[in-house]
Amino acid sequence: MDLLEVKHIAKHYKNFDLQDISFSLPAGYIMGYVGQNGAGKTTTLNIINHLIQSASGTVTLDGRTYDDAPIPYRDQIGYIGDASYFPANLTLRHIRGILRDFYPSFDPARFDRYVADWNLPVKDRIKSFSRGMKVKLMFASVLSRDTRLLVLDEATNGLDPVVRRQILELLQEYISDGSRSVLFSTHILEDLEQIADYVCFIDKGKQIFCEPKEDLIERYLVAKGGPKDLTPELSRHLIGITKNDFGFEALYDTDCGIVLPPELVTDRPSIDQIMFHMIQKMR
Amino acid sequence: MYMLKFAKIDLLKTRSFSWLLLFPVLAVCMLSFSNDGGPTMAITYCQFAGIIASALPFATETREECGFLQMLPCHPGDDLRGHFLYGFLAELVATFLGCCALLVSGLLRPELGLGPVALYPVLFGITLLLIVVQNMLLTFFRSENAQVMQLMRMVPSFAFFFGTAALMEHLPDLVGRFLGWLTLIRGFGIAAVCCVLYGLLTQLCVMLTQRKDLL
Repeated sequence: MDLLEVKHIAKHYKNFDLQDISFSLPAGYIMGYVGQNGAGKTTTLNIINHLIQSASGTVTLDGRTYDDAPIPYRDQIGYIGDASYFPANLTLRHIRGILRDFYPSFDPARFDRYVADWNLPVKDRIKSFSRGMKVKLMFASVLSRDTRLLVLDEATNGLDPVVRRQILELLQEYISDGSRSVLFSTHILEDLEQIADYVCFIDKGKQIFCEPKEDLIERYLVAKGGPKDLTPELSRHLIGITKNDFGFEALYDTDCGIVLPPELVTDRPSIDQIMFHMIQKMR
Repeated sequence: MYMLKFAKIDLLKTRSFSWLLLFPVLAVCMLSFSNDGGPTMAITYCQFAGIIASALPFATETREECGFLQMLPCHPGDDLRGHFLYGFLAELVATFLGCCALLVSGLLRPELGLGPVALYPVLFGITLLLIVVQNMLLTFFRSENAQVMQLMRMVPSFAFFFGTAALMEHLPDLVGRFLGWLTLIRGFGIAAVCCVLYGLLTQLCVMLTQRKDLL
């Protein structure tokens, strides 16, 4: 059984529709959830966190929906947002007290260890913390509990490379025992290349693909050629063609049924390139 | 149990009980140096502060905080019940402080007396009803517009304070007849009914917002 199962969720707003999103994430893996700004990533994560209600479909965590058992559902999720979500006028000591009051699995000693390791000020108000400190505090608050799923919404944005690297290491350590997973929404595709096992890509509220990262990289090739190499027949089968003075670049699906002419140069794509050409195709 | 924990978070966030202490001091000063209004106005002054304090959990709530506070494991609606419980406690403390102010000013100016004591629990009950309406408005019509929010927070407290003053000034006969009927037991009875109504309306508010998005 998958740890997280999202089936046909949807949300309708005045200017935006999230449509029929479905994916599943087995225990022990990291999924990158990617898309442009306004694609619907945060909306999806908010539905999983049950901060907003889906118009249809279900979300199950370890086989249970929120309605089945609201307290264990929330207890098993650790959420880290793109900005600090702690009340700004509280101190770290207050946060520790709140976590102890609400989460049965909260381990104060583990929390104190993270606080000491990361030199977080105990007596200062959170509003005086730097962005890096706030992110570390969010991580300390979720890692000092026995969660099964970490949901990260652009959590590494705006962080310096050292902190980002530390966080990526933490995430890999988090899933290392094979019982926990991470759902990771990000713009920084470099992070995704490093740690994601699955990639889920959405655009304008629609799911474009959701596959293991290795399968994606195996399936697609980036093809480059001169202006004369781009025949109409080839154009029909290539994805997201971009042209410049020297020729063109496009994504080639190895399952599309044609063989590329030998004069084209091909290479394994990065996630960034796959996303870019997919978006080009849709525009 | 969870609603108590949420009320505790509201207390930590707003730290309103510390500034609430200022109001009985002001009430004592008012009673010591002025003859306007008398003991009843002094207690309504503290209760007016209690109404303002009771709306603070809604006023200090930010969208960002939802990622933490709304993610805390609890039964659906416990966070809202916590806000309402906080409002109840704020008004209870404000009324208690008002009574303390009356006792202190009674010692300083014995000729003032304690006023119509049976009326104070009734005033407490009325403030509870105003708070519950105010909090329901703040829950259902939460607005991004700070001025609209400010208005929703200010109208009930000012309506109570100036309404009580106007009633005593312009309808003294009606107030007199009511005070003649009112005994301490009847006063506490009215307050108890208001407390029950407060609880029922809180529960109704929770039920009506059950399927509402938290963001």
